Amino acid sequence: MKQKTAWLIFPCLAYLLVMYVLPTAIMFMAPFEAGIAPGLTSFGQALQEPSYQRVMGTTFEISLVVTIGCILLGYPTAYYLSRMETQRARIYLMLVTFPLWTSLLVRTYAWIALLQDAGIINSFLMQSGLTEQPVKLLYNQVSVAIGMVQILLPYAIITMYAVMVGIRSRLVQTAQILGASPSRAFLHIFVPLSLPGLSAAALLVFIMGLGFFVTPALLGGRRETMIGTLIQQQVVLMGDWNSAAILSALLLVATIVLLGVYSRFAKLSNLVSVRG
Amino acid sequence: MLDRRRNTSIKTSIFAHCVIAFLVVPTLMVIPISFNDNQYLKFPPTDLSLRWYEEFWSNPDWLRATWTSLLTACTVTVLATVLGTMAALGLSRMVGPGKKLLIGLIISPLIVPTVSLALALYFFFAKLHMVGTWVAVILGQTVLALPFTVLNVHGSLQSFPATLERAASTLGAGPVTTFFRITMPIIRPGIVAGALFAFLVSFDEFIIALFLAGPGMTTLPVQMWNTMQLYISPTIAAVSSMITGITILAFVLMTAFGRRSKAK
Repeated sequence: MKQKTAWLIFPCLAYLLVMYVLPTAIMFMAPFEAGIAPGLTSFGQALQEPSYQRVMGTTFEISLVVTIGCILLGYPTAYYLSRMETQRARIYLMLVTFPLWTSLLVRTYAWIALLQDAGIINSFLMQSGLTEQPVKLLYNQVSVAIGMVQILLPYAIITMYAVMVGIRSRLVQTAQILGASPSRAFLHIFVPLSLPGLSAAALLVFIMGLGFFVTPALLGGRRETMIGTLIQQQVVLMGDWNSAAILSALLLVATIVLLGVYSRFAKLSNLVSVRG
Repeated sequence: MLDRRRNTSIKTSIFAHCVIAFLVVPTLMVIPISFNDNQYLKFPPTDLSLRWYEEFWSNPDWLRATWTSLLTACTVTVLATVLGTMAALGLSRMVGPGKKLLIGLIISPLIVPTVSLALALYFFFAKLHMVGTWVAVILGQTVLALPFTVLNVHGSLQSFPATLERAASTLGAGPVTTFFRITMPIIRPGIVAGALFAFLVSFDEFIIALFLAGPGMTTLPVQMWNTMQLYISPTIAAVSSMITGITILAFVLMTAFGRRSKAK
């Protein structure tokens, strides 16, 4: 019985090999086949191209800001949820994952409606007399970061929650009974034990942030162009499939390397429980 | 000492509630906006009207896009559910590092940038002269839907004793009978949850559809994107409200299913 049903994996495996692994390999080979600049030189040139360097820098910077934002907002939230009774935490976790269920474009549109000059926040600010002129909230790095944090925060919270829920409150209480102040007990007992969750969450958010496309394209201005957006622009506006392939390959390599680091201290399958 | 501890937890509680509000509330704002009569997304709405809903329902472009999206999502759901359920059954009978590697491969499309996947698929389908076909979009989106079907079914198989299947086959049931009479009823919640996720993934998927779909096959997200490139029309708020409404319905249904499977 054990071996008999293992074959059932093959259709899916074959599907992924043909529709996922093979296309990725073809994309990696595309710059080599094109023969404008032989193979690896084109990758080297791409890395030295100033406009690409600027986009890569922006991508890195925005991902970093978003990662910090997700940890600052997510850590206390995950902590709060992890100290709840399981039944209540289940409901809260559903609310946390709610954004992952709603359409990405809908959420991005909601941010535009909220942040634009005639939007909700600005009309509130102006009606209450706090400002005369609308505050520029949209099409800058702040709006991109806000939009991305909202999308990636659930992943961060769930990843940290999974680790924190395993830390017994008893441990922190014991430290307090032994004379540690609550904050000292928290810092010296809880925080070190939660660090694996924190680093996994940070790395995950950072990796996923690198490949973003919709949010920077719609909520950012030209200066917030990220690699994902650039790839799409190369394809749709320039029709330059080779540059797109090179950029995409670089992005993919960066993702895979970071993912290798990630898999050393976190289980990938935790991710799906985020949506499941 | 107790007092101080409670104090910090009140602060944490307020903070956590604000964070959760940040996650949920902005998206729901599209609903009041969609009933706004003014075309400048005024808030709070000055005059209520259904004109943006009317505009949606009377515009053939939006309707066609909705139809395309529904059809695509249904096909992707069937494909991903069949392949994913089979894979999960296969995986559940495996042990060792090979299994870990396979699960890694199946999940990785969720983390790999979708732009890269979409571009890779473009190159692939270009070689087959299939760019711009409906089939290409479906085949591509299925890669993104598979992790959800596989892992949901796999999850529901974890608590399922293999002895049950063995008992059935000892009693003379063939593998097909065993599957439909024994395995299927037990893993049904996992299959339903996986299928629902697959549907949502495809219905919301945008980048693959943007790269691979031909001009006649604009899906709803692509139509939204195209419209948003031009101007921030409140029609999008109406579309968004309807999508969000359907999603919340699916969400509630899912929870009901989850509850029932837990109760069993």
